[in-house]
Amino acid sequence: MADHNQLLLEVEDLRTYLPLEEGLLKAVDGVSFKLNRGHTLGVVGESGCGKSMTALSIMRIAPVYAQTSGRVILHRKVAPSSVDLMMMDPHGSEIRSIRGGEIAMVFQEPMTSFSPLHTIGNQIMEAILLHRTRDKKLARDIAIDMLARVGISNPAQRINEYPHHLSGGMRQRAMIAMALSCEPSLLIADEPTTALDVTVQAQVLKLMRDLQAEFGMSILYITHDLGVIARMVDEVAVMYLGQIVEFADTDSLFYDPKHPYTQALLKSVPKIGKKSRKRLESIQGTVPIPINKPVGCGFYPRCPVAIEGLCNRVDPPLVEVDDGHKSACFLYPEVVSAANETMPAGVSHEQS
Amino acid sequence: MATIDRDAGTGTAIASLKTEPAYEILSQRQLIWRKFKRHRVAYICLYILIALYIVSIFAEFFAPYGAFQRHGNYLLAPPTPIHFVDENGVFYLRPFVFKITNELNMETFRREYVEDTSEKYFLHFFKRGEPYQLLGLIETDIHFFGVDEPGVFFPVGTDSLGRDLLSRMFLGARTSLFVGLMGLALGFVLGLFFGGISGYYGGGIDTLIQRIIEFLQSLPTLPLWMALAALVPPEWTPIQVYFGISLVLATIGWTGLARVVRGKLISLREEDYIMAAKLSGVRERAIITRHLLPGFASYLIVNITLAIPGMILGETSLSFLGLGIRPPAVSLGTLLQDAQNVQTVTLNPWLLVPGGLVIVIVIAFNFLGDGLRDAADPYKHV
Amino acid sequence: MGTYIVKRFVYMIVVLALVSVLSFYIINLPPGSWIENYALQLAAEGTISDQSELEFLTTRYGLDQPLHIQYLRWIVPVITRGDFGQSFEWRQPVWTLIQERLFLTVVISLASVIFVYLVSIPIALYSATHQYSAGDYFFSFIGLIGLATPNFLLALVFMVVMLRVFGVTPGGLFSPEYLRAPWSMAKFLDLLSHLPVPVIVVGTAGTAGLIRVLRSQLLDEFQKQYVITARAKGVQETRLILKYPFRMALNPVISGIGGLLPSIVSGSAIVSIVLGLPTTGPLLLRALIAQDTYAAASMLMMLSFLTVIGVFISDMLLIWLDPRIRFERAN
Repeated sequence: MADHNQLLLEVEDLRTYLPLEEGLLKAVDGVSFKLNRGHTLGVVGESGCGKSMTALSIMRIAPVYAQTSGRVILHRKVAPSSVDLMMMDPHGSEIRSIRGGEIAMVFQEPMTSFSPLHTIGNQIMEAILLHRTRDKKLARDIAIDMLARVGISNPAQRINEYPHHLSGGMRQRAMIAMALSCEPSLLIADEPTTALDVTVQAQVLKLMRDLQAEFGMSILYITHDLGVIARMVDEVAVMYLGQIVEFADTDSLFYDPKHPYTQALLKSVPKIGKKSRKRLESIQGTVPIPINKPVGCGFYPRCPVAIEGLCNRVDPPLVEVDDGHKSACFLYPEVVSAANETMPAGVSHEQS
Repeated sequence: MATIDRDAGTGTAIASLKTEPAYEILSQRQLIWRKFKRHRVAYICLYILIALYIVSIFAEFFAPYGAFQRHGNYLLAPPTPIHFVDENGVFYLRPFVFKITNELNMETFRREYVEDTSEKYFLHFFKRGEPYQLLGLIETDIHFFGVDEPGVFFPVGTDSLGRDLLSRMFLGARTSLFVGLMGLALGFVLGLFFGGISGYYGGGIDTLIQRIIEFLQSLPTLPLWMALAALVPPEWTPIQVYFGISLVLATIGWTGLARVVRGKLISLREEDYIMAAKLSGVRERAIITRHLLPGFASYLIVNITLAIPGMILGETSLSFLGLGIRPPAVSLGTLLQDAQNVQTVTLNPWLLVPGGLVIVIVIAFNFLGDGLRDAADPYKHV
Repeated sequence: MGTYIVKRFVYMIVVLALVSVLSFYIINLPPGSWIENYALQLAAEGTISDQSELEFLTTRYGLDQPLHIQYLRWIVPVITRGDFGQSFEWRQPVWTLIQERLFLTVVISLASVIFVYLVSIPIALYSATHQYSAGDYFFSFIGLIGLATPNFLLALVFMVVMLRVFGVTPGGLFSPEYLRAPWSMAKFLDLLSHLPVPVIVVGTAGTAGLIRVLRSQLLDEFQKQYVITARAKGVQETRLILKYPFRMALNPVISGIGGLLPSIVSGSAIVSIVLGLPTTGPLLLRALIAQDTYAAASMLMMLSFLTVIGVFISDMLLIWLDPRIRFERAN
C-alpha cells in the first residue's frame, strides 16, 4: 500500500515562458508544490490560468519553442531514487520511459485524444509495449484486463473497435485504462470529466477514486469545476495567471478561503435552493492573457480589495499564513513580511 | 471603478481608481485591411499587380516601340545594354546605349550583334515615337521612354521579325491579364449561381448539380479546352476571339467556384448565428443579405483571387498551342510560340522572358490570395 | 460496403457513357466538316476536287446523317467490337492509330503520379517537421516556381537547359532503333530510360501542389490532441509522427489522386506536344484542327476514361485507408 507520508513529486519554481509575436507569454510563472504518494492534489483555475501548461511542462511536452526552467523532482522506488525531470532531454529515452510509465496523463476530450485511425487496443497496447512488456500476447491480455477493470463490458470485443464506436463515457474510461495500464505512480488528469454528462461524470470520478485506492497512486487533478474538487482531492492549489495564489487542504479552502480570488470563485458558484431574486455573482472584468505581465499581483485589476501602491508594485509571494494553508495576498502580514525580506527598499501599506 | 478600503494594519484609508484602457472600434473592412498590411509579401504583390495592370492598360505608352513595328536590321537582337560610363570612363547622369551593328564573327562564322562604342544615343523620357491610340481613343505618339534616332534600345531584345519584345510583352500582358479576368468573371457568375442554389436549397437540385460538377471535374482540362477552343471560328475578329476564349476558360472553370460557394453556404447555413437569426424571425432574404453574405464575401474574394492564375495559365497554354488568341493578336502565350523551336531558343534565350512574366503574375496572385485569406479569417490572430 | 462499391461502379459507367456523348458532340460543333476542310485543303494545293468523290466520301463516312445517328454509328462498334472507326485524315482505323500512343500516355501518366507521390511526401514531411528552417523556405520557394510555371514553359526551359548544358537534344521516348520496332523487354527498358525528362516536367506542378497541401495538413494535424496524447505515453517522436498525424494527413492526399489525375493527363498532353513525344496529345491536336471526328472523339473519350477510372480507383483506395468511411458506408 502507499506510504502516505512519502514524497513523490516536488515542483520548484517551475516556469514556462512562450515567446510570441505579441510579447512574452508567461504561461507558468513560478509554480512550486509538493505531492505525496497516494495523495490527490487539485489544481483549480479559470481557462488560461496555466494549469494545463503546468502539467505539460512537468511531462516535458510543452511546445518546442517554450522556455522552461525550474526543478521537477520525481522520487522513485527504483534507482536512481530521485531524478530532476527538468534536467532530462525532452526527446530522450530517459524521460520517455517515465512518460506514460511512471507518470501518465488523461486528457479532457476523449474523442480527439484518440487517433481515429487506430483501434483502441492498438493505442492501449502501444503504451504497454513501451513500458511493461515486449510480449504482444501478454500486452493484449493486460489491455483487456484494464478495460474490464474500468468497467467496459465485453472488453475482448471492444479492444478491436475504433474510438468512434464508443460513447463519450466509455471513451474516457478507455483513456483511463490506457493511462493506468502501466501502473504509474502519478496520474495527471486534465479536466477528464468536463466533456461528459453529469451522471457519467460521477461514474468516472468514482472509478478514478477506486483505482487510486487499488493502485496506491497519486493524482494531480486539474479542473475549473469546484464541485469536483470538493469531492475528489485532498489538497487544492488555486492558480491565476500562471501562479499559485492559494494552497490549502480541501476543507480549509472551502470554509476559510484566504485569497480574494478564491473567495470570489466560491461566491460565483450558483447555489441550488438560494432565493432566485438575487443576482448571480461574478468576478468583474475578464481573465487577462499573461502577455507582458506587469509587475505586482496578477489579480490586481479585478480585485475588490486591492491596495494600490502595494498590490500593483510588488509580486506577492506564496507564504504559509495558517497551518498548512498558503496564500499570496498582501492582506496577510506574513505575506508582507516575506516580501519585505526580498525587497531592500521595504514594503509598507502607505501610498508611495 | 473607485474603491475605498481600510488597510488592516495601519487603518489608513486608501482610494484606488482603476481606469479603463482606451480602445477604438474598427469596421470589419478596416480590420481586414490592417491584418493584410502586416502580411508584407502579399502587400507588395498587391502593388506589383496594380502596377502591372496600369502598365498593360497604357501598354502603348510605356512601350518604347510599337508592338508591330519591325526593325529590319535587328532581327533576333539580344537585349541592349544600358550604360552610364562611356569607353573613356566618363560618367553621364543620363543613361545611354551604344550603336548596335550586325557583324560576322570570324571565329564562329555566325552573325552577331556588337556594340559600336563610337556612337552614343541617349535615353529620353516622354519621347516621341510610333503613333498609337491611347486607350483606343486619343491619338498621340508620346512614349514613356526611348532613345534618339537612329539608335535603338531593346530592353529585352527582339523577335524573329525584328519586333521589340518588351513592347509586345506589355501588349501581350494586357490580353492575358484581361482575358483571364473576363474568363473569371464569367466563371464567377456561373459558379455563384449554381453553387448558390445548390448550397442554399440543398436536396435534389443540390445532388444533381453536384453530380454535374463531379463529372466535369473528372475530365482532363486541357484536352477539353483544346476541343472547345477549336470551336471558335477562325473568321472571328480578335475581340470576339477574346470573348470566345474567356467563355471556354469559364466553362470548365466555374465548377471550382461553384463547389466553394456551395461548401461555404452549407457550413454557414448550419452556423448557430443563422439559427439565431431564423429564431428571431428574420425574413429569408434578410438572412441571406445581412447574415450569410458578409461571412461569405471575403471567402469568395479570396477564392476568386486564387482562381485567376488558373485562367491565365489556361489562356497562355491555349494560345501557345495556337488554339487560343490568334495572330496577329498578341498575348503572352502567342509570344512564347516564337520560343517553340529549341534551337532558336537556345541561341536566343531572351525569347523566354514573356514566360518569366507569366510566372511573376501567377506568383503575385497566389501570394495576394494567401494574404487575403489570412487577413479575412476572423479566427486567425496575426 | 459491397453495395457502395457496386453503386460507384455503375455510376462510373454512366459517367463514361456521358463522356462519350460529350466528346462526340464537342468535336462536331464547329461549323463545317472534314469534307469541307479536305476540299479546301485540296483547293489550296491547286487541285479541284471531284464532286462525286466528295459525295462518295460523305456517304461513306455517314457525314450527311443527323448527329445522333452518327454518334450511334460510332459508339456501337466501339462497345461491341472495340472498333473506333476510321480516321478520315490518316485513312487508318483509329485504333491502330492511337493504340500505341494511348499506351504511352498511360505509362507517362502513371509514372508521373508515382513520381509526384514519391517526391512530395518526403519533402512535405521534412518541411512540416522543420518549419521555418532554411530547407523549408528553399522547398517552398521551388514549389512556388513549380506551381506558377506553365507546363509547356517548363518543358521548354528543360529542353534549353539540356541542350546548353549537356549538348543533348532530349525528346522522343525511344532511341531511334526502337522507334518502329515491335514490343520487347529491351524496348520497354529503353522507354524507361527516356521517361525521366517528361515525367519530371509533367510531375512538377503536381508535386508543388501536393507538397503545399500535405505540408499544411501535417502542420494542422501536429496541433491536434491525439498527437499530445501519444507524446504523453512516451512514444518516440519520429515514430509518433509517422504513425499518427502523417497517416491522418495522408487521407485527403490519397483521395486527391482524383484531382491529380486529370491535371497530369492534361499536362502530359501539352508537354508531349512541346517535346514531340509520340503520345495522344500531339495527335489529338492535329485531329482537332483537321476535324477528324472519329479520331478526335475517340482520343478525347479515352483520355477522359483514363481520369474517370483513376478517380474511381482513388475512391476505392480511400475507403480502404480510412476506417471511418468504411464503416459509415457499411451502415
